[in-house]
Amino acid sequence: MNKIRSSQLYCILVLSGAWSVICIPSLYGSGQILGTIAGCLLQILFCLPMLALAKQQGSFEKLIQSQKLLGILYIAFFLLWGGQSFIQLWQVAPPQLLPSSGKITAGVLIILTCFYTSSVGLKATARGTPFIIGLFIISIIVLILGAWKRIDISRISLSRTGFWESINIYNALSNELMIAWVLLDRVKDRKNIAINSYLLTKASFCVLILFLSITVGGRLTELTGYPFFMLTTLSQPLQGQRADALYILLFVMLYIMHITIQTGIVGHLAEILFPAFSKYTAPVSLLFMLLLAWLTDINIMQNITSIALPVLAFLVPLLLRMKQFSKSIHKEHSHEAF
Amino acid sequence: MKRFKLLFFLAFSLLLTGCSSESIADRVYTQAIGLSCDEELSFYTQGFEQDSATEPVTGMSIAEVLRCEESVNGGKIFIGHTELLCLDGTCTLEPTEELLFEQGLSPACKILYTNPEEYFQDADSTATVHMIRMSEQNGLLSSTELSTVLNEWHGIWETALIPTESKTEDYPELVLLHKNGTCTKLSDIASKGMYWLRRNSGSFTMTLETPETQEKQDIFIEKTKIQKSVQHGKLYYHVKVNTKDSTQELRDTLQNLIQKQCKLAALEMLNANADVIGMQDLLENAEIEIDNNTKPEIEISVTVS
Amino acid sequence: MNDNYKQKTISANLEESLAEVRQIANNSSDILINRLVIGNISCAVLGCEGMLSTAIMTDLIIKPLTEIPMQLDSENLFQHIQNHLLLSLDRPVVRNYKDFFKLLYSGFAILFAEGQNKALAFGVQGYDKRSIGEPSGEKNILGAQEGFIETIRTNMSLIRRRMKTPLLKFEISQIGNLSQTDICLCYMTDRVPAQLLQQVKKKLASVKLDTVLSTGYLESFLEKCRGSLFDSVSLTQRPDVLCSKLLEGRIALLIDGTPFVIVIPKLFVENFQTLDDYNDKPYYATFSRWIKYLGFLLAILLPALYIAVCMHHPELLNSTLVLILTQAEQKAPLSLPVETIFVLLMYEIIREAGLRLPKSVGGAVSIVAGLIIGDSAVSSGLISTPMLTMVAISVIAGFITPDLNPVITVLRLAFIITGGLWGLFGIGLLGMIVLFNLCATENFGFPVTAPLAPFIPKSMRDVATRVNFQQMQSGNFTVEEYHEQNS
Repeated sequence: MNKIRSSQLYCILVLSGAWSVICIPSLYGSGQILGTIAGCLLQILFCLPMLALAKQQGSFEKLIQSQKLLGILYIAFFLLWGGQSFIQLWQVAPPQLLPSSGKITAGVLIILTCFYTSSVGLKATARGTPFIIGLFIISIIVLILGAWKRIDISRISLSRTGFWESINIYNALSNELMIAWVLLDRVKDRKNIAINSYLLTKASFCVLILFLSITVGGRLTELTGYPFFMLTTLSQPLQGQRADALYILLFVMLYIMHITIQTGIVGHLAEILFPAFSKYTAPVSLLFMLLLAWLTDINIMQNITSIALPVLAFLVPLLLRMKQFSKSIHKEHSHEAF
Repeated sequence: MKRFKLLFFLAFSLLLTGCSSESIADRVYTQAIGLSCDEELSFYTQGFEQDSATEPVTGMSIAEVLRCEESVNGGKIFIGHTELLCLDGTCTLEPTEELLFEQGLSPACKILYTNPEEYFQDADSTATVHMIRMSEQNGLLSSTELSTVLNEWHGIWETALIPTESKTEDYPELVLLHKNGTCTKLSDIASKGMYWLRRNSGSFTMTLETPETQEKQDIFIEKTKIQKSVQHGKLYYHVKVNTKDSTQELRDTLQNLIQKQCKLAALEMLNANADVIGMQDLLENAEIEIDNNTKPEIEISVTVS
Repeated sequence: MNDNYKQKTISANLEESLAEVRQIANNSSDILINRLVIGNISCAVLGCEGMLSTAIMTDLIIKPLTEIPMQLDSENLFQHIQNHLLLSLDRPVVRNYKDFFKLLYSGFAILFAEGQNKALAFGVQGYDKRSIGEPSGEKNILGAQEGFIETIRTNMSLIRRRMKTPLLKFEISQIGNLSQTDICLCYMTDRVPAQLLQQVKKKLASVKLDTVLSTGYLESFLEKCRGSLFDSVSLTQRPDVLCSKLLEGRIALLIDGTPFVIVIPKLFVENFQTLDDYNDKPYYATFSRWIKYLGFLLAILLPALYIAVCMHHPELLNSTLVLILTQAEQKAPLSLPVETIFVLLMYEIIREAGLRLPKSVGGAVSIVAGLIIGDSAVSSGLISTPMLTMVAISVIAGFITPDLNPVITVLRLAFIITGGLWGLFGIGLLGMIVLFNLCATENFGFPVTAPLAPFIPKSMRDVATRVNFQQMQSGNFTVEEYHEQNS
């Protein structure tokens, strides 16, 4: 795969992260905002080993080429995550955002679209991200304009209710760090800026959604699930008209981008590990994801990915970095001895 | 073979282009709807440019009544443009929430406390909605949108402030409507006080009669801001009003008037065991435990500059 | 007749050579053979009917040849002609029949002499050609009114007049087994990416067509992405536009017989750039650039959005508009998408008819289409006025970017179908497919979405805005900046 720019990596991570924020299941309280900020800071620390390793180009590729089993684990992670995403589509999408023909039709259409978008490759996906980011920004502006008049600051408190739960939720919905770890090798320069900017952007978006949900939705947010969709229902910029149909476009584009990125990563990993079979990875990985979605319970998949994420995206780079560090110290000592 | 398949697919797609979909003209667009629950849910609808409502339908749920309305009206009911929702206090929250979250009712829809059956016999919903909107713009009424009302009903005191159909001078009368249907009508002075206590707002012109000169004079209210705080379990509401080009006499008159109105509003509200001025949020933020029988102390101060 | 003649060399015997020519050409009537004696040596001057300039032929070739004094032999004769007579600037030596016929049918006069196994060719082309005028497609207000014509050498001169630098290079070759069409690669040697030039030459060498009659024959060889909706090579009829592209390091391919020049590579944003943008003031140029972007989106999406909102999401419209549209659509017997497709198909039929009809009948088509069909269809209630308005706006908006007309036509219909079936959801899905199709289109390593994707902020000075020339003159931009290197 060709090199991608740091701005493209940033866009890929933000779009995937935006989908995760949309899927935040419930609101615990104002403490969730503080928890999100704390979660973000934790993730900045979390990313240090992978950023340190990424300074040496090709470290991830060399790692999985030498440890093929590890590479397969990474592929399995993305397949599980993809399966999880398919189930989330069913759970998250409110009826107003799907066509009147029903969820099944919508699902089939999305899958067919994903088959095409996955087939064009990760490079084309990376090129498409700035356009989706533009639409994302426009949607957020519309959301803010709709929510502006309905904000009631008195609903916000400095209580810590939901603080610890929200750290857990925020970190559990941060599988994009795995994308970052895989793709950092392919970025030419400014990797630190791309990763840190993404972490801050995602945290800001999450805080914005939580803040608006609490101040606009108030007690209604605690009753309904998925604060984002509740917010789109309540934040209407115009009287007498509902604008939440506009979020259909955002919903569709974010979801398809999310699945396409995952499939693209699987293709990228397959190209490194099994170059002979890389041609068919896109449709095969989509089918695998659908199969997993059909056969496995989402809670099991979420538990597995929650455990796998810190191991594969933090422990592995940390151990590798420590190994490199100890090797370099050993070399220095042996030079001195000599 | 490939081209033939492509052509077939395209032709097939053309056939699918809206044969079964609804056209814009197939729907019935409602301007006002009414809900009343005795044993069953009664649902009233009035379309745009209609003088009265269609025959009400009854059912056990919103989905059912909407289906019945379709057969009565000859088209699918579309409530996305509904401007007015009439409630008589007999329904629980669920039908209203279903209308908002599942059936597409606008959260900016105005709520009116009235008997739907009487109202819809000879209703001019356009005039009613216009009256409510003008009252809000002229500072005679604070926002009584569906989302605000539902938020208040979900509070501990389970009351919401809703305008009624009847008018005093130029603005609608207000009632405090409990979720259980109990209704307390606010006095004229308390209704005005509720405006100052409810929300920060914009500019409008008021007419005041100064006690010394007994003359009616206009005063331009540029901006109103309310500051709320809790100290030692007591709630403090400070209303700050900015005026423009006004004399000290007028400002003093206004200050006294607002003070009187707000105090009465708070008193009537507490007597009705209600909270429509955000007491619950203040007390919860101060981590004070409350229940629906709590009657907190409220201190109100007013500054007019 | 097979291609064996290409291997044959010219005989020293004049009669044999002439007989061979007649036999290879199957006694074609357009070959002119004039026998004469030059310097006491039997010769023949051959030409192609209609390809030579008779005046030049008489004054500059025949007359000087007949005045040549007696020569010892044909070798001396040819040396005398080549060294002492400047009969034309272009004087190639012909040794085989392949070159002979190529030059003969290019308008050269060819001299055979008894005893010589070669011939001399003189460039005296005089075939009729169109005069240089304003290009039919790329009209502008403030730019030059010159456009390319069908003659490749005239086109080369139009470019050379504007770029008087030795860095501009032309490479002529022939393509097409039967047509032997002249093609010319044109580029700036200091700016063109070497890899791009190499790849283009390789692609052209792989073309095995019999004839090349227009740009379309070669475009498919030069475009890499199959299944792409968008072009990755552009065409231009304007020498000034071509020169500006050459300055950016692009390669131009001129083809004899067509006034259109292929330019490689193409960027999607170029569809929205016209020469007038660089003649207007920056603020107006920026404004008109954004009008074009908006026009493109309206052309593709407006009817589909109208259908999607009316059928699936009427809550997006305010109540007054909904009532107006409801009243308008009540009488229409067909569903909105079918109505829209019907109107669009009628428009396409009328447009095609307008293109093919003689000018004298063209006016009648306008009257029938506009007044009779349009007005009566609306009056009868067959189609509704709001829908007709949307389609009309969309169609007019499509004229802003004529290069994208095929794409707009197809995508407009596709969006109408998906919008009608699934509303904004369908439009979103198809939008993603189109976006990915666009992003996947690249040619020789140049993505067509550059400089939007990958996003290059510096390039926004001529995409999002049009800055003044003082700011644009810095940077020495070439398309190589957009090239995505393989790892």
